[in-house]
Amino acid sequence: MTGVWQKWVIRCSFAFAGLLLLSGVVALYILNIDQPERHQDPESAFKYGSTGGDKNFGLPYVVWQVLPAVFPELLPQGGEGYGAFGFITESAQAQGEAGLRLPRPIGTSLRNFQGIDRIFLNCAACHAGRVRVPGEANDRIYLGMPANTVNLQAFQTFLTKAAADERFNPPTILAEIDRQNLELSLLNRLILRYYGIGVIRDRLQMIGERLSFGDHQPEFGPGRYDTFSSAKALFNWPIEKIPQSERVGVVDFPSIWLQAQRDGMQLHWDGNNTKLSERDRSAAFGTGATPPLLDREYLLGVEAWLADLEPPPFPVPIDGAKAEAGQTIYAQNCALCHGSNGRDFAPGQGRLGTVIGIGEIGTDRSRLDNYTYDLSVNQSQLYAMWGDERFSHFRKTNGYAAAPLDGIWLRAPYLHNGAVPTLRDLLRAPNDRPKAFYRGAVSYDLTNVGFVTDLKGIETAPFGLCFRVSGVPETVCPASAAGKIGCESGTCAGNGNQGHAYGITLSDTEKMDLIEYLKTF
Amino acid sequence: MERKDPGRGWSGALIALFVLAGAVFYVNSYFFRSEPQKLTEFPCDGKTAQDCALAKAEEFFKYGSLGGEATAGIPYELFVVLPEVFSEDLPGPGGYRSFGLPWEEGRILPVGFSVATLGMERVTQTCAVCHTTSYRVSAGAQPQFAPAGPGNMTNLGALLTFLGKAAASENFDAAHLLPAMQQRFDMTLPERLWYRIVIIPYLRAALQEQVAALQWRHDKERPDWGPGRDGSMNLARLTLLAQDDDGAVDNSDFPSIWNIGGREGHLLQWAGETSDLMTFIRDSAFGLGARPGPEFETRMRKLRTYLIMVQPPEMPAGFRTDAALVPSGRALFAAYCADCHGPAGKRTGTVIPIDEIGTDPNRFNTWTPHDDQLVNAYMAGQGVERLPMQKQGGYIAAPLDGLWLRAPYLHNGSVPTIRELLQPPLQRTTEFYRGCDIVDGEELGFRWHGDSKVPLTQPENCALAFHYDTHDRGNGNQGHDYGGTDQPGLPALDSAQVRALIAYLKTL
Repeated sequence: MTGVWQKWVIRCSFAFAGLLLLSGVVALYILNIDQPERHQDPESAFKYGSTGGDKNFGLPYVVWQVLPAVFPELLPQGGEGYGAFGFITESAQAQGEAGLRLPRPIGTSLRNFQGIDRIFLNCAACHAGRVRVPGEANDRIYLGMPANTVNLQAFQTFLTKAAADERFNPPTILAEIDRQNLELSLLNRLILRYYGIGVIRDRLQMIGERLSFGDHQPEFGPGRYDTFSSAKALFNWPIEKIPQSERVGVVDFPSIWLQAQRDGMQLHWDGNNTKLSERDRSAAFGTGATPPLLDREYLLGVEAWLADLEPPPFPVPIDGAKAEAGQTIYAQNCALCHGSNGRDFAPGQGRLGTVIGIGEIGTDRSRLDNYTYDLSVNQSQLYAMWGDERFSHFRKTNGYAAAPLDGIWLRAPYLHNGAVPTLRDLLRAPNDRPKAFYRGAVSYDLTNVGFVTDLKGIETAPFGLCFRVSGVPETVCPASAAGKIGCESGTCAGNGNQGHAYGITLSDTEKMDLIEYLKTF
Repeated sequence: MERKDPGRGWSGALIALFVLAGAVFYVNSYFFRSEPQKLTEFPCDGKTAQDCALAKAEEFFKYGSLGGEATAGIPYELFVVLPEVFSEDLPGPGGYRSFGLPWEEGRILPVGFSVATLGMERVTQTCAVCHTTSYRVSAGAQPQFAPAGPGNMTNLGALLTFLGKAAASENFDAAHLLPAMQQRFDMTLPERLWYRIVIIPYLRAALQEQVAALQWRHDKERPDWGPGRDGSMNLARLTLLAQDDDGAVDNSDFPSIWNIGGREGHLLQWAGETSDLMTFIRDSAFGLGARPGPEFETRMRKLRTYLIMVQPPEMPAGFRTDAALVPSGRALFAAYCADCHGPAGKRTGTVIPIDEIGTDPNRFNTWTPHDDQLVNAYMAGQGVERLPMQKQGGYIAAPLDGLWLRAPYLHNGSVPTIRELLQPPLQRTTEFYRGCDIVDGEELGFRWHGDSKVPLTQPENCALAFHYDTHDRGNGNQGHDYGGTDQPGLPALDSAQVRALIAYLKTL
């Protein structure tokens, strides 16, 4: 009897050990899966490729896909799906041609990491926009332009609030996944139910807490974010210990065309770094791509493509005679700081690519003060032990950089903080510039050069925002269902529209000639 | 029951031996493989040979390993994430900058920290952490750093407190530290295991032990060091030699150590206990974890050479609007100060008896002849080649080179500016802020108050400024009563004379 028992015990033990070994091998295999969705052409790669940040911040695709349906009332009012945050979704056909395994907006990546498809943001989230040219039926999508509609702060708020909501639980989320008939393997279902969703919830809350610097400044609205408060958050600097004068760092997304000529220029709005590749790796942090996770193949590909990517031409014919007159005015008034024209800005031209001292340029200084010496030296520890990739070029400056103006027509609103809606307004004396306007419209204003800024222009845009200039009283900015107001009247620190008072004394004709010429950039 | 084949036993033992040897080799190379330190090299073209040598020597002074990796090294990967993981224990935002540490642009560590390979990359301190002056010429200007000057901003006490709090925290474990490290570095599975099983627990214990050995800082109602000071004598007496705490206070400023050739033959340390430059350097390096050996001597010689070469920076011209007063100031200096502070003064570099100088006696009293015996015997036992330390009768009269960057003044940093120092002791300010790096060219020193002296306010744009109270033990601002009160043959200076003297002192 005992012999039979022993035999069975031994057999079972072996079977158990074998099973354990097998599941260990399977687990190891699964944990090592790392397959980003790759794309054939550079445009698709830019729109849908992965920085590697999805390994860090990525949400399981199925969870991402159901969140708007589970928390509809947390979306910006009047919005539906991720379009509510201004993300651009291409047609199903276009998505298919780009080689997408799963449908999603521009600016998101997909990667099977450790056995589950994860989605998160990439470069295009902040650097692709859309424009509705008057008389046309559809929006034009332009890559490399500032993401004029993307309201990253609203997106972040949505995720944080959802994670804090009691409905962020496995049964509710799995039920919606089933309702939408999304594909989910049994193993992943079990993992999500008993582990994943709880982890995601904690992680989103933690990230939301770290990124709470947005609560201490005017609402960003579409097309803006605070880059260097994010860097401080990366280092876990407690916001409440940061002096008030250093808390506001919200700025417009920049355009990213024609990068090769920019290497060596003082990059970022305050010119705090002169090395292109460092600037790019720094930007990749924003998508969650830390040094061990960065997808170098993707980033190098994007960099190579952006090196000489041209901005799109102005969408309607330009008046040649007026532009020619404007060229002379540009040469006299602008070229010293902004380069010969929209294409030729080789290094070494005048003051192009250098920092103009804050006393001279006179624009809002919040962003300048937000970037501190202490931050610059702490950044020198990023990519340490990664050889040549180490950050060694961050510097504290004392002004804002004079940037090239390629594709300037798509870079509205203007100045680093986007405080001036159109080129026509920028050529007005600071006191005569608009005190408040709506951001987030895609309709284009061909005359003044910029986006339409009245309430009507953004009525259908849940991501829109009324931008109020620093110190402006309540009355000038009527709130509406569509247009929220981003800050308390009379405050709005960081939203100043003063400074850069150049060309303001030109005659109206001269101004319009100059603008005509700038359309050729 | 069955008899084993004896050959099998042998081969088993042999395999075990190989495995063991492999393991020893692996462990040894993981923890103790030593590589020569690679310091940043500067292109020397366009520079004189001397400037080039100075730049190299300065790099070594600021970032060169003293060889303390085995005794006092923290792995770089761990060191950089400590401020992130324990951010609530930092005095402010800015990571290690919140301890006032000098940190040059583009460097992976503040001045005064070395990274060298002993198995892994390990961080140790260098002399420069306490001997590099930070200064700004205006509130909006960027900090500049003068190596070998007093570490006026370095808050060593706060740094030690932070490390202590981190080590005491239950979050000092793999679960909290490894994820932060993995955000920045490529950590292989074996590495993660080493950190989890050995390095983190070991380091935590080592830090806790260090904190326990520094507990005296908080005992006997000792005032805080604050920025720019430590208690170097007590560090030797109570931490290194582990003597019973007698309650003595010796808080004193980090001194400047530039142009040290000019102090050859002088007594060194605030109360002159050391009479030899190499002894002074060796003892200080020993305190940072360096241990005697052939490389130790080479490093000490390099430091000596550098400290002889390095000169204080000149005060920027913008502060020298009173240059016309320099000749009359020079004459006043000759009459009032040169005996004790002039390069050829007959008492320069000697000790002024404690009753004569009259400054706060705490630092002087801390070190006793008994300490001489103990430390001399201890260092001899450690194999450190040195001249013995010897208790003297007062405080040294030091040369005043680079005086504009050596505020606050007196050994304990109890007087914020030269103008205050030239007042009768009872009229000097009894409280001020130290640890502001904005130069005050009028009073000669650093800004020590905000918009109001009474009631005292913190200087603007100096978030790390520390409230200094001269009533605290060891913080007295009495003594050195020269220029403010009538003395035999030296009547008190009037305000014009004070201005002239200050104009001259700016040139030192």
